[in-house]
Amino acid sequence: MAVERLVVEDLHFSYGRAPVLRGVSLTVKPRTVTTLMGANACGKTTLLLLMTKHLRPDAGRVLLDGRDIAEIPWKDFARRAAVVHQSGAAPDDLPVRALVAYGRAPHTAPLRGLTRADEARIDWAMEATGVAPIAGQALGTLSGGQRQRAFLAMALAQDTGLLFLDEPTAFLDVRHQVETLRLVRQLGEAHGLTIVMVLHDINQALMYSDEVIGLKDGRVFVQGPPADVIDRDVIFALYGIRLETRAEGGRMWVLPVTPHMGRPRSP
Amino acid sequence: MRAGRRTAATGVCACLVLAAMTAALLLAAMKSGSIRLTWGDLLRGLFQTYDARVAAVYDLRFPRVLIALLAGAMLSGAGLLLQAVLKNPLADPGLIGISGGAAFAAAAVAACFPALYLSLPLFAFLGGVLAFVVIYALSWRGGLDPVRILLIGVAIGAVFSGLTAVLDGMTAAGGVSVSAGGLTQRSWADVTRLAGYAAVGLAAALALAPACNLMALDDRTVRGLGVRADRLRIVISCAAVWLAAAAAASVGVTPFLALLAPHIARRIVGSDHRILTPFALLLGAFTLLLADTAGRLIAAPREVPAAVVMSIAGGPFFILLLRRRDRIGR
Repeated sequence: MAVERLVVEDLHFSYGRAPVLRGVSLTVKPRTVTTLMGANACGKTTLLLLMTKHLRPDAGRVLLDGRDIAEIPWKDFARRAAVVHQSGAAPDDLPVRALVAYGRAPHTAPLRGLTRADEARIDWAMEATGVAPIAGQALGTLSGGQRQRAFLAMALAQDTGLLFLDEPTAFLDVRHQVETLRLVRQLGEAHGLTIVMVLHDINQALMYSDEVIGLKDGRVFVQGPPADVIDRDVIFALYGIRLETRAEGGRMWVLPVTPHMGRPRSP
Repeated sequence: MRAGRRTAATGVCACLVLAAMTAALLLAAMKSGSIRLTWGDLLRGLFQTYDARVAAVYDLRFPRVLIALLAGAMLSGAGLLLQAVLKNPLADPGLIGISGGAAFAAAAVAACFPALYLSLPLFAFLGGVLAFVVIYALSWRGGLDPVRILLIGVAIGAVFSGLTAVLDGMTAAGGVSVSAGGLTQRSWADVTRLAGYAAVGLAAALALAPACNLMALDDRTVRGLGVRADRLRIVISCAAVWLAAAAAASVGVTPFLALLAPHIARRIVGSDHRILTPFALLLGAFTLLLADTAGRLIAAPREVPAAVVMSIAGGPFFILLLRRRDRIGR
């Protein structure tokens, strides 16, 4: 699979008059998992949408292998980058396999059916995400975790070197959050994908990322391997709260709770 | 939890059953009415000996029945496409004023340039597009709120029906009404005129089935698959307005059919447009013919227009739909 080089150059963006990004520059390391982190409204999702052509920057560029993505036609872009959005809509009676098959759309000519190679890729994507056993099931009957994996399978069917995930763990319980992130990592390693995702959970970002990018005030505050760049002060700077941290085996965790001062309330 | 393949098989069966029912209704509609015929009379008169009664039925009733079928299919197709494109199951070209705009444009051209009679549906199309663009522009608030588009559409529709009434009042003094007069007094010339427009529109509706399926996903997802969602939306909208306008220019505004038929169809065959579209077209044809035939028979020898039958039957159904949406909790 082609290695896609993704570079962001001095990106500015605002919703109306409210500036969200004020000069973001970064390079995504190929074949790694990069996570965008930061407080609410720091522009993580906005940056992801800008990197996937869904928004147009006010200034600056996003380069894919040296070419401004604004100049890359949608169909070409869709062959190189797949996006799993938060809570994708789809008809309740759509079978899983039909959803995954949409992932072949960038590779098929209009009015042309799926080739045997397309079918094989669809089957592969369903196997890789574990939805093959429920291929015939309607989306409306799935659990949140199964549904998320079905959409992930659609993105994999697109057969791209780049995969974007916008909060893949939103709306999932903790078991499915962990399972989804492990799956994402495993897929990335097995197939040499370059993965960029947005995560809310600090510990998940630290655990499952090769690189983290912390956004603050519309700029990149830190970028690098989590063990190197994240500490208590950086967490405070990014999220505005002092949290206890624990280090173990070269990894760091934060306790996303603070002790409260009062006595426990009697029942 | 139905498997995709089984759904497809059931869908094809449902289409065949409905086609058979439509054919049966077609025969019944041709036979019944103020001129009473037996099957024997009808067949003999058509194929063997000349029979004045059968000739009258052939000239008057047959065109009407065929126009009801075509217009029904067109309206249902228009509703289905519009619902796909607006992602709104309550969209109905009759309710939101597209048919009203089309009917007004057709009436205005008929009044001012009677020579353009044959291309009336084209002008109706322009009127429908104008209405749709206005509704779209007024409803857009960084997204389309389903209820907002209905409210704006109702207002636009009211304006156009008022304008059509004014036009009618001005021209009726001369003895001829220019607005499309429902399904009565139709000739074979009307059938052939409508058939051309119907063929183009219905073929487009069927061809756009995969596109309609894609539109059921988020716009972002659709674009992410390399498909220009905005262009697709314009193409599907044009096909919808074309169908609604040509139907409105021919039979006037028929409320609720475009809402009712696709909705029932979705209930029966599911949301895959490759099956849903043909089924909904058939169901629209069936429903309008049923409404027209019922209207002819209920108070015979007087006639209740099909549009009135549809209003009476469709109104309660629309309310039911709204209540169901409420319960799902939006």
